[in-house]
Amino acid sequence: MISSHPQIELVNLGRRFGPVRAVSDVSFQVQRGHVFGYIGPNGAGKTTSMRILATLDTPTEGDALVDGFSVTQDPERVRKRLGFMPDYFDTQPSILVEEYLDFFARAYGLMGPERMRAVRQVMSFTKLDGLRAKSIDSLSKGMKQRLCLGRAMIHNPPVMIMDEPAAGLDPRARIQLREMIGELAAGGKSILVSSHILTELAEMCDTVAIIEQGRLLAVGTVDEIHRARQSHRTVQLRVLDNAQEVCNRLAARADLHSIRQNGEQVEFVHEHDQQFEADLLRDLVMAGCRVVEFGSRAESLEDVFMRVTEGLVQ
Amino acid sequence: MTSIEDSKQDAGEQPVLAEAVPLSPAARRWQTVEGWLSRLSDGLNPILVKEARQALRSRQFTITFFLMLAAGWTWSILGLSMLGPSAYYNATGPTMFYVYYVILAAPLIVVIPYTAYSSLAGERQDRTYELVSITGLEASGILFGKLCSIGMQMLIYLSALLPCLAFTYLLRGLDIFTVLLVVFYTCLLSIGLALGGLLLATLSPPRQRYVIVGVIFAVSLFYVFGMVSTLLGAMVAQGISLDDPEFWSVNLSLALLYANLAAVVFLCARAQLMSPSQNRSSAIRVALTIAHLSAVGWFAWAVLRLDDDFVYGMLYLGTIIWFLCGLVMVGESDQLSSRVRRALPRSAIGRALFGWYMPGSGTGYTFVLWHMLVLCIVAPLMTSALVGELAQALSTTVRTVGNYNAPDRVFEACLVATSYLAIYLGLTRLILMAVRRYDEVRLSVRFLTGVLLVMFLGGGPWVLQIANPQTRNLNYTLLQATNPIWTLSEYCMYHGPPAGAGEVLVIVLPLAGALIWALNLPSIAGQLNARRVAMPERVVEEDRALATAALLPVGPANPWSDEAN
Repeated sequence: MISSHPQIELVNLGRRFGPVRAVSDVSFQVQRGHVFGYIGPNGAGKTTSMRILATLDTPTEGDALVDGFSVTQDPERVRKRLGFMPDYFDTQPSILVEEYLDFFARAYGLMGPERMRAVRQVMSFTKLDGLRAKSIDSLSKGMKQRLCLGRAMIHNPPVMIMDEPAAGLDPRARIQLREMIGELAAGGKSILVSSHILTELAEMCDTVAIIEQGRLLAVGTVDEIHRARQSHRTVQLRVLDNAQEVCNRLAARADLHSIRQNGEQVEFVHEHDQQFEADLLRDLVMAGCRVVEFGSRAESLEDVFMRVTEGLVQ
Repeated sequence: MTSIEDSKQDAGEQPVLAEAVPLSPAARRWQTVEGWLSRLSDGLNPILVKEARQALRSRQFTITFFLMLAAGWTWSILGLSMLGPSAYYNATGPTMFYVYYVILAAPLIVVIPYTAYSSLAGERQDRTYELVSITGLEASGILFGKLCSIGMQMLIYLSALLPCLAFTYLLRGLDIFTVLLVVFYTCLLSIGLALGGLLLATLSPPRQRYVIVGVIFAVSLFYVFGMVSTLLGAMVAQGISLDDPEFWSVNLSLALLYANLAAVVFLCARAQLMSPSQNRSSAIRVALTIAHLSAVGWFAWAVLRLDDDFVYGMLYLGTIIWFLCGLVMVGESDQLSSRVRRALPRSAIGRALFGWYMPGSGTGYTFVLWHMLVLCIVAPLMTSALVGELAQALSTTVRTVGNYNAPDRVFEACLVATSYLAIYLGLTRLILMAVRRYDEVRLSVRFLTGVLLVMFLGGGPWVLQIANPQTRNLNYTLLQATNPIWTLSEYCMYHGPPAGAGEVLVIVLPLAGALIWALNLPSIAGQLNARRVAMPERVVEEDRALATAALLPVGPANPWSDEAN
């Protein structure tokens, strides 16, 4: 049965550890089939919020809901709907990959052929088929991460929470993981994912939230955050002969800043739209500047992150 | 890239491929057996399945098992060669059995309980437990799985020495009943100790304390092992007689004590593992009521059957146990989660009868006092009615030892004990309520507050008395009225109130207890008045949907089921 509730909802969530406020008044929603990126510097409160959502911790203020169920009041109903991939590995000794997944399938109440099929399909999806009889102690980091993903999805939950899933993975494993996350979202799962690798998050996430010192600084798509923050655009141009003169002309304008010259290259930053850039180019050409290249780019998620956060940790 | 759907299809093809390859009859038979076993294991606790797999592969288990086996065989050869031909004529069974027993008891009393502790504590330390706790397994299921795994290991260890134990029965001087009883007791003790280990593990100490607690627990297990080996050695040497009139009563009382204690320890461990919004108290309180009622029954039996020391000793011990339980309860938070409030009694009568079983410091405080008051009422009734009438009628058979207990003296002792609980638990509760305004009240804080209070209020006058050279050699005086340890010891020693203070104590202490209870009363009333809240709309919505789905024809249970594919 598909419910009309947001799959994940944080309502003024707060968590204090003694005098330290790890999370403070955080609110956002994640809809079905969306990948939501949760970004922030170390110690920003990402893991704490995710642990609260996974019913491993309790908020001191506010609430977190999964498919409309409160994580504090109905944790059992939340757990049925949730797959959690923490930022650490399971260290169960003397257990094989297949047995490990079989155990979690049993723990989630899957029985008989259903359980065996779930284990087989999850191993196939995470490409662990060839490792079924291997002890989990002997797996590489990438394999362990795939096993961790397999464990989190063994009961086919509609919501998945992944805390730094790509940390420490080599580029190949990272790409594979990104593809798997994309497929899970395409299959209708709502995914909350945190990562330090912002370029990756930008590629896979529909929406992002930026958190620092436990406070939510921005939520929305990368474009929305740009717009809301009066996003900056960087323009690069190449001129023949008179680069210094172009720099002087640009410097005379109050609406441009961070003007830099490197030989024929001139770079500057403005806070307007592309119409403004077109007008500026026209003005330069009419003023006799011999512009041979003109290009602009919007801020990346990395730029937004750097600008929004101040690098503060608690 | 394989998608989920693709992989489902891939998996769906596998049986077809399997059918295409012709299997040998032996392989087919094995496949059938494997299918049966798999279906059979569906009914087993997942923790048991996982831990059985892990335990059978672990080095510790293998070493212990083979050491036991080697020790058993070595003693068989060594013992028989030492005994020589006398094995045919003399009662050599107990000697052989005792050494076998020690070989068996070492893993059962030391290794298994310690494994239980380290298994759960280790999982909590390295956060493996977290991943299990967010599955569909409940706290009781996890603990039960751990206990089943312990039981399985126990059976395997037992099977290694079973031939040796059976062999001792063939020798002279030992009956099968003694062998079975001793082994049965040891298994029960092992499970009990393992439960204790699990409870310790759930207290979730930080890394360094986990190691220290582990060492203390291991040392305690060795101590228990030494004690039990000595005790059972004597038991085996003496032999166990079913004709002994005390045999059944002692065993029944031990069985009840064991069952009650095990239930309380299990429920405490479960409560430690449950989520904070769940009701972690009611089940423990129900278990305590059952334990108390059975204790009251045994108290009555002791009044009739045993001497006065035992009766007062039971009261003393009971007071200490209720004080410790009370310290845990009076430290509970008074804020009920809305989940707990969903299950509150609806009516005023319901609240009056069952409100004491709901979580909260006020209800917990009064819960303890109610139980002690039950003892105050029952004890004199027992002593007067049963001793007075029944004992008269059955004077020769009922009472074998000691003198009649005076009903009024027993009542006084119960009343004094109850008053002390009312005073000290009430004061502890008031202090903890103040502390909770600033910080969480941990278990250690509760115990520390209660114990310090007893030491300060009870120990202070004692220090004053011995500090004064004129009063140092005096016996119990009224100055010691606040000292529960001394006062109750006087009752135990003299089976009545301390000389010269008794009449005053019976008036002053209950009055002080009532006064402190009255100070607590407003907040207790507030807790009892807590009203039931409605189920969240989302929960009702889902329950309704599930109920409707149950009426519909059975569809796929989840995407992995046959119907869904």
